[in-house]
Order: sequence, then structure tokens, then C-alpha cells
Amino acid sequence: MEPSNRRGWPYYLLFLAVFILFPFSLFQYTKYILFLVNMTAIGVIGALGLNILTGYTGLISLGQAAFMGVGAYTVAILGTKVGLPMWINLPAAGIITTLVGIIVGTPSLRLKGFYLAMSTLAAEFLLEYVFKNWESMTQGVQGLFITPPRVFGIHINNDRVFYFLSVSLAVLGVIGARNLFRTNVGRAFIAIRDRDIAAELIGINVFKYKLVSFAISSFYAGVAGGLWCYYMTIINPEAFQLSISIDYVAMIIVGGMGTLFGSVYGAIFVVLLPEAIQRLMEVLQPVLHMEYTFAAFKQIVFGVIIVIFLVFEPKGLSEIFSRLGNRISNRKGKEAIQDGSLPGSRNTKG
Amino acid sequence: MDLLIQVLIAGITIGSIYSLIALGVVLIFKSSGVINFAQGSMVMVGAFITYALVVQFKLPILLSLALTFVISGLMGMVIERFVLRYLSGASLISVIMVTMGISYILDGGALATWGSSNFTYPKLFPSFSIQLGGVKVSSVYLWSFLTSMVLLVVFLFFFKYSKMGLSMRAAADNQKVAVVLGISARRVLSLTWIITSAVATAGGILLASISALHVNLSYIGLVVFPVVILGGLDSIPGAVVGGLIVGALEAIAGVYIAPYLGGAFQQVASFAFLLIILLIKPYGLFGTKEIERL
Amino acid sequence: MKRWLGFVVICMVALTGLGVQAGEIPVGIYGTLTGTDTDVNGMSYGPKDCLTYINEKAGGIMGHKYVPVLLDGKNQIPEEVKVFKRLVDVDKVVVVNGWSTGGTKALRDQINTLVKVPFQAQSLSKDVLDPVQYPFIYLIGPTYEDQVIIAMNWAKQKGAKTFAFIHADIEYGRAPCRNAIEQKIPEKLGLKVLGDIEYPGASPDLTPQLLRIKEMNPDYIYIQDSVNNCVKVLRDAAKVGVPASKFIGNNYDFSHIIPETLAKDGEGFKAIQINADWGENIPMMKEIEEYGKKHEIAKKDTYFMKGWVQGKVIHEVISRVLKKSGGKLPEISQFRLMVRDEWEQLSNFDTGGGTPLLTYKDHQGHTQARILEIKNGKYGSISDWIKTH
Repeated sequence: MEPSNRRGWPYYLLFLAVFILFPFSLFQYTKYILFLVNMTAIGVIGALGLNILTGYTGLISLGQAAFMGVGAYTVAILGTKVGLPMWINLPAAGIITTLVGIIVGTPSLRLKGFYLAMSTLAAEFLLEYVFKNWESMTQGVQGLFITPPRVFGIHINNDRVFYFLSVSLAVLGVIGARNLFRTNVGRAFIAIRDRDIAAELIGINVFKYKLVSFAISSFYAGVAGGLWCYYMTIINPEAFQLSISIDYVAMIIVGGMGTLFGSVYGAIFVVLLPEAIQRLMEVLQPVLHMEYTFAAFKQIVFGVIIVIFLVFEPKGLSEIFSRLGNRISNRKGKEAIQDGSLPGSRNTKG
Repeated sequence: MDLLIQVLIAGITIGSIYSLIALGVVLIFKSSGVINFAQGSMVMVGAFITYALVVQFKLPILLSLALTFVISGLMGMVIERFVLRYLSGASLISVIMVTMGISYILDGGALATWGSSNFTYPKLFPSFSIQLGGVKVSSVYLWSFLTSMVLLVVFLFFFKYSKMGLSMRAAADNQKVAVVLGISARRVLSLTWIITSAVATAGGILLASISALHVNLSYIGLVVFPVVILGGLDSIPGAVVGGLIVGALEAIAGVYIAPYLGGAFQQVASFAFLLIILLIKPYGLFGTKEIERL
Repeated sequence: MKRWLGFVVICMVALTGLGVQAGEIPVGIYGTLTGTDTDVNGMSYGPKDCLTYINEKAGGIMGHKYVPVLLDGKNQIPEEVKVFKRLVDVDKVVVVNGWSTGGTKALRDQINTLVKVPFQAQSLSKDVLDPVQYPFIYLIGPTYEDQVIIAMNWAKQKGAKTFAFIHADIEYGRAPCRNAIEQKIPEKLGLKVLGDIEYPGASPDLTPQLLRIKEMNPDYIYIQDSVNNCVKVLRDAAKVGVPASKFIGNNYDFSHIIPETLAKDGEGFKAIQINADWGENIPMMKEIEEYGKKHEIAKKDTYFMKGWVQGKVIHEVISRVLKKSGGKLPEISQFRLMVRDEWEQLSNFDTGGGTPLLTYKDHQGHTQARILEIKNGKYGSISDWIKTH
């Protein structure tokens, strides 16, 4: 981000205007696009959480979906059985998930790398099992229904209303994460990722900060899960399976691990890619006549994208975009040099 | 008591298949430090290729088997050459995700080619069964057990005494030094993947013979991780022993514990067990402890 | 920031896919095209093929062509919810042909209150059958609970005293068994239920569960699951020595795959039939054969027949609506309401032999079933067509 934004404010105003006015447009596909944006916003929050844990602190987690599940069930249970309102439930979802996250994170003290990943994998399956079988709380595989709370008289799961809520929370999430990495806590995370033994030597309490990282990351996941619950109004254990956890890991890898906007780009990419493929396949429909090839194609493309990114651009979309950005600003710089207004000529004559 | 014996036999028979598949994962790790999340998919694809050759192309069984091993070996080589090679030295999460990506590609490819139905697997072995303690053990399980044991012995000797085996271990341990000593890391890696594909295919054929053939078979790739950790990531005997233990454990959990905890506890049992192992002995029964050097 | 905005805008623009033209009747179908339970997904291809056949043979209905949209629900509730929203909001379908019990239950509010779209479910669970509470949901045959009663009645006639259930750990598996036990149906018949055993739906090996069954030793065991898992149950039953003849499956266990895969291990297995099998000598089969000459049929089995019947029902109801409206396509929400009203009045509809005559006053097409048994690798009936109520 350029430091001097004084000349950028018209763009921000334009962006704000589009943001506020778009949901009211009469464009035929508005509802569908709002749906996609809402899903993406939830994904952004979840991906931010995962990025904090894995991208910035280096702790691999395959359990992000289960954490979201904890948040979602918290919201549903507090909403239906206890009858608490939304502005309590959503933060409560975050807090309860934080507690679960700290518990799950405790093995991380002794385990590293692959073994930590395995413990999160085990946590993923065990939490899913709890969702399926703690029937008195979660109603098991039947799932929980919630009546979406009303805001100004409109149900929260109305696409438009939810849009404002989810995108605002997503933006808050990004800002919060950005500020986190300007503090000591954030820097400690990065130190742990890069060289944790060295970090311990210079006085960082690695144990404590690993748990804090799990805590913060789970908070994000819990809020994302709570939002999911409000939007879908139905949650059941199937929504929080391993494949969703892997989607989140894919988000941060494709987007760029250890970068804030990486979470955003990654979430957009992973949410929109299947939709784009679906549309593409419908265009090709007359050629392929078996429907299951859609699902197969989606899977193959997803896998290919992951592999391509990891082989060619492991730093993800954020790296690609910033390189593009650099090239644009370099070009401006080059023009300036040739004009003679900047020193450093690349005159090869003579 | 009678029931317990039956449960144990049931568990060990399925466990021998776990051993076989875990063997593949251990092989790759032992030779390259890569943890292969695509093993399950390779197992499934291997089974499907055999099916295609025997049933769809109607080739004789032995020829089909030979061809399948060739094809899956090629597949392994392709994976190594075009993907893994670029990730040597990459971070763990990249390696994990890339093998997941490969598993998605394989799963999707199998789905697109054969569809999502259950297929009856052709009878590749002389089919007989013996009665062992009240459980009818079909020949497939005996074959699987036998194959695991044979491979165990073969690979033990291979890694301990043969030149290629030692080269592999050296390359896995420290690639740069290995290269200096004249070991072609590339050749070693290719060979490892070819062997693992073949082992996966063998596991796939046996697994499909026991249950039906379906693209869901790749799920077993996840179930073997408790096995691999119990046995030790780099231990071949560990994979075999671990497989049998985890198989028995799942059976016991399914019969004795599930009535109390409800639901399908069997599936989670091995992961609960995994968690316990990780907390007590993360390097498993036979694995080597990693010592981190700054 | 700017780049992010640009990216999003580009994505939004890229997603304006093809819409549905005027003069077309979109019909939404979702089923398990991939995932578990795919062995019975012929009944999702059925409606699509049937409507395509009608398009070709009769040019649609009064000049309007059907546009069947078939999507993959993967047998997972969140996926089905997403797909449902897409069909209803984007494709603006007139009717939805759904799939799973769990998904249908989850969408009850959407179907009946928020969106109001007629919904023909593949699920046969009693929990979604209620003409008053769920006026938009229609079932095609006897419910799972009805089938359990039929099975238990038959077992009682054979002198059975004890019974057990086995099913997967999903709603489709749990709910009917639970309902049957809660309503004390076994007690009323004088049967004792020894157990209700669950297994993980995706597990390759079910031996532990079958060992428990062996210990329990019930006279008969009811499998509340479909072909995919039924094969595994019977296979592992043979392994531990529980004969297939002790098992009775529901209407989703009537498939040639079972005797094919299991050979003699499947002998004696019983299943329930609620619609015609592939290849029977009925007028509907002739239609399908005609269609099959020019198109490839994905699944040639009894479930495809079920799907075809569902397609016929949809066509019949929509034609009646259009006849009343003089051939004009009503506005979509009006259209859906009219279809629903017309559906409820459908009675004694002849499906050309695919099923008994269908009457939808109680939102349940028909309530007849009969029991089949595998003898020498083929299914043969061992009872008459029984009316469940």
C-alpha cells in the first residue's frame, strides 16, 4: 500500500459508493452475486484466522473447519436454547471457539510440523464426531435450525442485510490483523515461524505466544462460523468436514501465506472458482453429456490450481499482484528517469 | 472370549491392508522426507487401472497386472518429475498441500473416467476361505497379509544392505552431501515414487477385492496416518505392526466401545488413538527421534 | 485496494452466465451425482431424461420447452442448500426435484414459507410428509417408516420374535429407525428390538458392526441404507457367518448390483419394491426404450424408472396448469403456486405401469409396496403388492 494516499481519496469514495449502493441495484443477478460476496466475506474471516496461525506463526492446522463448526453451533445453541440475541451470540461464538482453540493448541507445545498437523487433523475428526453425537446439544446429524434474528425488522439472512454485516466484519478483521502485526505479539508470531528456537533464546515465551496465536486464529474462525450459521440458518456436522479445512488451507496458499491480502485474494479465488467452472461447464454442456463430469472437472481444476501455484508461485496471488503493481510503478519510474527528472540514467550510449 | 477373538481376527485382517498402504507412505518419507497425502488416491487409481484392463479391455489377468504396475510406476515418476522435484526444500505445508492437490487431480480424474458407482471387482486370486476362530477369512485377506510380510522383509533388506537402499536413505537424510558422494538424488527420488506407486497399486487391488471398487477408496489415505505415526514415520516394520494394531483397535472400538459412546465411533477411534500417541510418543513405536539443529 | 476492487468487479462481470430465455420452463433437479449413495442416482437422471424426451417427442408443452437443470448435491446438506438456492434464485425453476432426507428437512422452511416452490423429494421420510405443515413437499411412495412396518409384518408372519436395525450415521439412516422405535411399532406387533446399530457411512469395513449383530442374534435385521452400503453390510455379514436371508432392505436396496457383486453371499436377501423394475413389459418402458435409441441412459435400473415416473408427474402437473392458463407462462411465483395446487388435485394418474395409480391428496403418490427376495441371483417377489395404509 502506498504510504501517501492523499491523492487516492476519490477512489476510496467511489469504492464506498459502490459498496453501499450495489445491493440495491436492479441487475438481474444481484441476489446471486450478493450470495457469493457473503460467502466470500465469511471465507475471508476464516482465512485471516488460518493465515495468522499458519502463515504468520508457522503452525499448520487442518482443523479450521471444525473451529468454524464450534462457532456455528455456539451461535445456534445460544440462539435457540438460551434465546440470547445476536450481538451477544456472535462474540460468544468467538470466545468459546477461542477456548477450544487453546485446548487444541496445547499439544503444539511439544509437537511440530507434521505431527502438529496430525494433531489438528485428529481434532478435526473428533470435533466432527462430537457434533454428530452430542445430540442433546447439537441434535446430531439432523442439524440445528435457527430463526434468523431481525435487524431493523428484516431477517439477518436476507442477502442484502447480511452483506452489510459480513463485509463490515471482514474489513474489521483485516484491519485488526494488520494492527496485530504491528505489535510485539504479531512480531513474536513471525519470529516463531522463522526460527522458534532462536526466538526462545532471545526471550520470547514461545509457549505462550503459540497459544495466543491459536486463540486469535480460533476467534476469527468462531466468528466466521457464527456468521455462517446466521446465513445458512441450518447447520449440521457435514458443513464442517475435512474438505472445508483443506479449502481454507488452499485459500491461504493460493492467496499468499503470511500476507493479509493473501487471505482476501485466496478467499475470493476459492469461493468463486467452483462457480466459474460451473458456468463454464454449462456453456460446454452440449459437448459433455454426463453430469458427474462437472464435479470431476471442478476437482481436477482445483487440484491443478493448487499444484500450479505451489510449483510456480508459492507466494501466491498477493505476490503476483504486488509484482504487477511494481511493474506499473517501475514503468512510471523509468519514464521519469528518461525524462531526466530522476537520477540513475541507464544511458548505454558511448 | 469367543467374540474377542473374532474381533481381533477381523481387525488384523483389515489391518494388513492398512499396513500395506502405510508402507507406501513410509517409503516416500524415508527416501525424500515428503509426506504423501496422495497415497490413498494412488491406491484407488491403481485398483481402477487394473479393473479397466481386466474388465474393460479384457486382457488376461497376469498381463493386466504387469501393465498396471508399469502404468502406475509411470504415474509415480510423472508426479515426481513434474511436481515434487520443484518442491525439494519447500516448506512442509507446501509439500502437504501439493500432495493434496495431486490427490484431488487423481480423484477427479478417476471420477471423470469411471463415474461414481460401485464396481464389482474381478476375481484375481483363486478364491477360497478358511475358518479362523469363527470368522470366515477369505483368501484376499491372506494374500494381503502375505504381501505385507513379504514386502516388509524385502524392503528391510533393501534399505539396510542394498546400495540403492542406502543411497535413498542418504539422500533423504542430507541431499547435498549425498550428491557430493555421487548419489544421483534425482534417480533416487524417481525410483522411490515408482516403487511407492507399485505398492499403492498392490494395496488398491487387495482393498478393492475386499470391498467394492469405488472412487471413495481414496479415503483410506487418511486413515493410514494413525498407522504411520504409531509405527514411526520412517520405520518399515513400524508401518506393518502399526497397521495391524490400528486395525485391531478399530475393530475393538467398533464392537465394544461404540455401544456406549454411540454412533460410528469406529472411525474416530483411530484418530483418538492418534492423539494419544502424539502426546505420549510422537515418533511412534519404532521411529527415529528428530533432533533439531540450529 | 484499487486492485482488489478491480479484481472483484471483473469477477462479478465474469459471472453473468446464461439466463433462461422466455418461453422455457426451467425444472430443477439435484441429486447425488458424486459422493456416497451414487448407486441409486438413476432417479435424478430419470426426470431429466423424461423431460428431454417430452421436449423431443412433443416439442415440450404447448410450445414451451422444458429446461431441466441437473445439479450435484453430493448427498451433503450444505451443498444441497447451496444448490437449492441457486436453482430457485438464479435459474428460477418452477419445480424442484430434491434428494436427501437431511437436505429436505433442512430446506423445509425455505420450500414452504420463504420461497414457496413445489418440491418432489426422493426422500421417503415421514418427517417431511405433512400436507398441512409442508404443503409444498410431495413424496412418491410409501415412507421408510411404512416400509419398516411392512418388513416387520412379514417377519412376524414368518414367526420372528426379535428384530434389529442397522444403518449409517446420517439422517436418512437414523430418523426412520428412531421413528419406528419411538412409535412402539415393534411392540405393537409383538417383536422385540434387540438393537439399533450405526456405522460410519464411508467406512470400507463394517465387520465390527456385523460382529455385534452376530452376538445379538436377532431373527431379522432391517437395513435402512442404500445399495452402496447394503453391499458392504451383506459382504461382511457373510464374513462373520450371518446369512443374507436374515436381512431385509428398503426400497433403495433393490438393485442388480447386489446379486452381481455378492453372488451366493447375497442369496436370500430381501428388499422392498415400490416401482417397476427396468425392462418390465409396460408402456412406460417402451417410452424409455425409444429415448434410449438416440441417447445414452446413465443408469439402467429401477431407480431410473422411479425418476422417469417423477418426470412424468412433473410434466402432467405443469401441463394442467398451462391448459388452465391458456398456454401462457405465468409469472414465476404465481406459476409455482398454481403447480402446487394442481399437484394436490392429481388423482389416479396413470404412469404407464411405472407405479400404481398416483393420487396426491395426501402428498404421497401411492402407498403400495411388495417384498422381493434374491433367488439364484435374481429378484423374485415373495409377497403381493401390499397397501401400507
